[in-house]
Amino acid sequence: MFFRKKAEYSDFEAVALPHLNDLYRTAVHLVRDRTEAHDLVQEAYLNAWKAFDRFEPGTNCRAWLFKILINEVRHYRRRWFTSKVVPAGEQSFEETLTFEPPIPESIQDEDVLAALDEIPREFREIVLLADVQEFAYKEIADMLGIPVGTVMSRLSRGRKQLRVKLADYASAAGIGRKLEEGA
Amino acid sequence: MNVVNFNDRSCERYRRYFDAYLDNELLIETNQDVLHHLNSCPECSRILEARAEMKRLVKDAVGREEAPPELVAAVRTRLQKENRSFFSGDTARWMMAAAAVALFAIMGWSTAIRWGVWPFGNVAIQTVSDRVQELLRVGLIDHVHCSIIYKQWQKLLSFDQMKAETGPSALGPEFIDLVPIVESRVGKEFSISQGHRCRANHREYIHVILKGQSDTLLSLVVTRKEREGESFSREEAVAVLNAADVPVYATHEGQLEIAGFETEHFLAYVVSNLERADNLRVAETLAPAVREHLARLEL
Repeated sequence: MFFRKKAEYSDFEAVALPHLNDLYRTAVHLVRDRTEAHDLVQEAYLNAWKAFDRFEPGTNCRAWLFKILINEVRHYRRRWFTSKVVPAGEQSFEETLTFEPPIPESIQDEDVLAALDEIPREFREIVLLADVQEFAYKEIADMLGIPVGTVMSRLSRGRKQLRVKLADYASAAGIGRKLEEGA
Repeated sequence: MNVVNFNDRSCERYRRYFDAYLDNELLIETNQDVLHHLNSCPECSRILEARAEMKRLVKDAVGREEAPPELVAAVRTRLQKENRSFFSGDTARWMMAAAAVALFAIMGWSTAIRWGVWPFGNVAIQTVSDRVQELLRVGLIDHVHCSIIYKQWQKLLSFDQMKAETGPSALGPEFIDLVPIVESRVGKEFSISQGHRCRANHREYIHVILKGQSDTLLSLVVTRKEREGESFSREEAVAVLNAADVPVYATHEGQLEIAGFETEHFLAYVVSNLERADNLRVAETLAPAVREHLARLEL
C-alpha cells in the first residue's frame, strides 16, 4: 500500500507562490485593470488552495494555476460584461492586409503594451499565454477549453494584429522605416 | 537555386508555419522544410526574424511588470485565514484545540460551531448529518488529545512492553490483540508507536498510534458506546463504503480525516493526516478484523 499525506499549506506555498508574478502580469493584461487583477489573483490562489488536494504532485503547477486564474477571469467577465466574442470568420482590417511590416526601430515597452491591450481579448489571452508565458499549444488548449487548431489560428491572428498596430504607432510617431508593402 | 519573391505561393505556404515554428510546435519534418526554405529565401528570413523579435518584445514588456509586494501579503493573509491551514502550525493552536475539546463537554459540538469557538471551522457537514459528524468527532478527540497534543507517538513501546503493562493505561488482555491485528494489516508504511488506554473528554479510549513516512500519523481509536443512541446506523447516515459488509462513515476536520465504524457496543475510528482516499483505505483494511475482535468481546 502507498499512502499520501494530506496536502499541507506549507507545500502549497512552496509550489504555488513562486508563480504569483506571472499570474499577476497575465491578469493585468487579461482584464486591463490592476485593481481587478489584484483581486483576481487572490481569488485564484484561494481556489487553488481549496482544490490543492486534487493537484497531482509532479504535474505542471504553473499550468494548473493559470487554468484556475483563467476561470476566475471568466467569472469576473460574466459578472460585469456581456461577453463579446469575435465571430470566427470575421477578420479585422489589420488581418486583411497582406504585407508583413518590419518591427519599427526604437519601439518602447509602452507601445508594445498599448498595442497588446488593444487587440481583442480572445487573441490577447493566447498571445499572453504563448508569447509571454511560453505554454505549449496543448496546454493553452486545455486551459481555455478549445481545440489546438483554434489556439493556432487565434495566436496567428493576434500576432498579426499586434504587428500592424505597432507599425501604425511607429508611423504615427514618425519612427521606423517606411512599411514595405507586398503586392 | 530557387529565387523566391514575396508573392511566391510557396512563400505563403511556409509563412503559415512561421508562428508554430517560433513556438517549437512543428513536426521535425515540417521544421526541416521551413528551415530549408529559409535558407533560400531572404524575405521569409527577414519576416521570421521580425516575428521572433515581436515575440521577444511582448515577452519583455509584459514581463517587466512585477506584482506589488502587498499582493503577496494579501494572498498569504487570505490563505492563512482558510481554516485548513489550522493543523499545519504551532502548539498554541493545538492548545486552543484542547481548550475547545474541553468546552464541548459542556456545550456540545454543534453549539460550539454555531458560536464560532470550534477553531477548525465548520467543514464537510453537508455530507453527513450533524449528529453523525458529532459521533465521528468522538474518535477525533482522542487522536488530537494523545497523538498530537501530548505527542504520545514519540513514546515508543514494543509489543512485549505493551503486554507487560499493568497500570490504568494498559491495553489489557481484552485489547492487546488489536496491536498485531493492526500491524499485520497496515503494511510496512506504518510502524506502531504504541497502544494504550486513556481518558479524554470524560471518556475512555483504546488507542493504537501508528507513525508513517513523511510525518504521517494515524490512530486506531476504539471506545465503548455510552448510550443507546450512539450509533451511525441509527442516524440514517449513508456509509461511504462497505468493507466486507462493515459500513464505514467518514468526515474531515481541518487537516485530519476521520473514518468510523461500529459494533453493537463499540465505536471504532481511523484518524490520520492522510489523503481522504488513503485514510479510507486503511479503515477499509482494518474494519473487518477489528470489528470481529470487538464482537468477540461482546459475547
